[in-house]
Amino acid sequence: MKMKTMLSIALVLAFSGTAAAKRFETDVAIEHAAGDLIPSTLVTAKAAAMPGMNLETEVVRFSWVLPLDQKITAQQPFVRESKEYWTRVPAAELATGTTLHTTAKGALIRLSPVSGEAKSVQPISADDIVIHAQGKAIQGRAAMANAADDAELKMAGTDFPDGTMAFQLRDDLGFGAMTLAMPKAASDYLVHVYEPNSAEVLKLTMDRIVASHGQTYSVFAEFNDDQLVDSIDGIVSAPNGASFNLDFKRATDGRYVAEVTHDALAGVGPGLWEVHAFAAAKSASVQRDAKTAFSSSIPRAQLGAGAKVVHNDDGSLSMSFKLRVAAESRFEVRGTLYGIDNGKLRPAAQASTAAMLKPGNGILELVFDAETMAKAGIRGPYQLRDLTLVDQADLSTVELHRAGLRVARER
Amino acid sequence: MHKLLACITLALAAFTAHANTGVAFVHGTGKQTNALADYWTSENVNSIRQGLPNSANYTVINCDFTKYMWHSAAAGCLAGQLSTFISSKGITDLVILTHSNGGNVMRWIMSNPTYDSRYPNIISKIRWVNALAPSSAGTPLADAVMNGNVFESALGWLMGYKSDAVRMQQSSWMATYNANNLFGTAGRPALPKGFWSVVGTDVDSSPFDSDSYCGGYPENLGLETTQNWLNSCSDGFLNCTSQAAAGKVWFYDTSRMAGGEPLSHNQSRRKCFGLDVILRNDI
Repeated sequence: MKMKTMLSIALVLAFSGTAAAKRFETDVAIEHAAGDLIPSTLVTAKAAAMPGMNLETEVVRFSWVLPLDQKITAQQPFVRESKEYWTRVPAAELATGTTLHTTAKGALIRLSPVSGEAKSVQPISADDIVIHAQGKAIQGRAAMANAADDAELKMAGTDFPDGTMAFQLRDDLGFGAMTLAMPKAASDYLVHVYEPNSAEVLKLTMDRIVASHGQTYSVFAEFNDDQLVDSIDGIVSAPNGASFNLDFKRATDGRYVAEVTHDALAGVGPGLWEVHAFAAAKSASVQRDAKTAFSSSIPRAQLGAGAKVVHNDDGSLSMSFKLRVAAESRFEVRGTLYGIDNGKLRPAAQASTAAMLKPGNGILELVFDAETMAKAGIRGPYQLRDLTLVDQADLSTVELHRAGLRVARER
Repeated sequence: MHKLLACITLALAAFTAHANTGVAFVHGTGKQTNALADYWTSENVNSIRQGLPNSANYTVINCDFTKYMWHSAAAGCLAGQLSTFISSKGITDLVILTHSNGGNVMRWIMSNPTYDSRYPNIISKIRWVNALAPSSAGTPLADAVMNGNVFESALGWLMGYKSDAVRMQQSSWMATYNANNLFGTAGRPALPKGFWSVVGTDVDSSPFDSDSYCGGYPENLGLETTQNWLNSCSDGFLNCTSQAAAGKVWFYDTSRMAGGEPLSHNQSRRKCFGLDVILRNDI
């Protein structure tokens, strides 16, 4: 670690932007560690204003004390474990009967009329449904362990499309291929089959939580602990509605992997990006769809190599970060302060500072105020970990340094 | 026990400082214009606010929580109404009651104090947040609603507009926000003020059980069905794990409700089984 240390003198106060007198000042380099997020390119185009987002213009600083039992761990990408699939069934096919594949007892089935026609579709009830299973045709509630119509689902606070009907199959119907019929079907329906009791699972995850523009990310799909599937397809969908096909290839560990170079500029919009996978297995007797989400980042600024750390006379601790700013935005720097307590290093305080910065060189000063430092219950040497640069205009994490800074003890 | 210790500490501090205590009711998903009547019910709010030294020091928030949590109509609106309440009543000690997605909007404010210059003053006044059935880790029901929608969108279908709040409360989305934009979940820094969740564990909808009728029988009937999408421990809308994902669990319903009754997702915002008295006594 490269570190330049110097004692400050009262004269420095005249040039200081902070109210407190400087007692000790050091220049500290940012450390790098596995799992860091570092932009590979900076985008000079200003972020488009998101709907409902009024960017603050004032400089705002805040710090607080963390509890004694605070544990900080590296966050992991979400892993979807799917036991479900969706299929669109034309009206004529549903009227006479469509084949559904189930792999366990007690499947939950939902029918929603396809939009556009939904308003004109009459609500359906359990009595409109006929299930053909084990050589028998069973009508309505006789086939269902329970059922809820459109009104009941809405009363429960769910936001299913108008005209939706959901029911759970009775266990004594068994599982396997069965026929779902709705003789009065007058429109296409989306049929959702969820099998809570099934052992057939498609897992979907990624190698990161944040995808930075221009960098390559991996998507991993895994069926029943690396079994073969008949087919697997997928797409990435962006907040603006754009979608991009995924090309899954079977890896040596049995997982299916797709690699994508992230074009964040092609999908700008509020919300997250999503990854979808659609798989069939065991001669199409198993159908599974899975989805997960990730955050997209368009880097418009980057942290410099280090920070100037100042211990002030009032007990506060401030850290000034230089930034290279490519496009104007409101940037935030945040981090977790660790210090020594009873001979052990522990996370004790959190701080955040945000300000509007124009293109060029900018500075953000992270301050752990005197009250926070007094209550934190730690002493130096300190470390600032999970040093994060956020663009508040699109809420994206631009940069993350898990190891952050090591701050020398005062002299 | 943790909350008891925090309570004693804060009560002593409040007594010393002659705190002016207030309570704010923050609703869940939806666009509310009269949440007092339509969401919380007057009998519930009036019961809870009796715990205040000055029972007039309360506000019922009405915002548009169909939007993403950070939206000006969501967190922006909430910050505006809380700021007005704090300044007009001179509140120095604020207890916030949230229900469902209201917990996420409140957590946005507490996790992102520099996003809006009004946030630090609000946070500084908060004693703690009592989060009733918060959707901190989302719900598979939002996935069920949106998966169909997104699946269809991907294929060029359109199934009608779904609110951004529903989109946001999908399990994978909340996991991403929790890892990136929000604090208070496992392995993440704690929020600047306490976030105490009340967890609903089951739905009772037997027509022969009078408890099924508290909060509205039809609502509970629907929750019994939606529970099929969820784990064995759920309030009909949220898994217990989601309700317990952020902050600390204050209590699980059956441990404190009269008769050991569970609280369905609908009942945790109503005057059911003595919940109002527990909340009143916590102010």
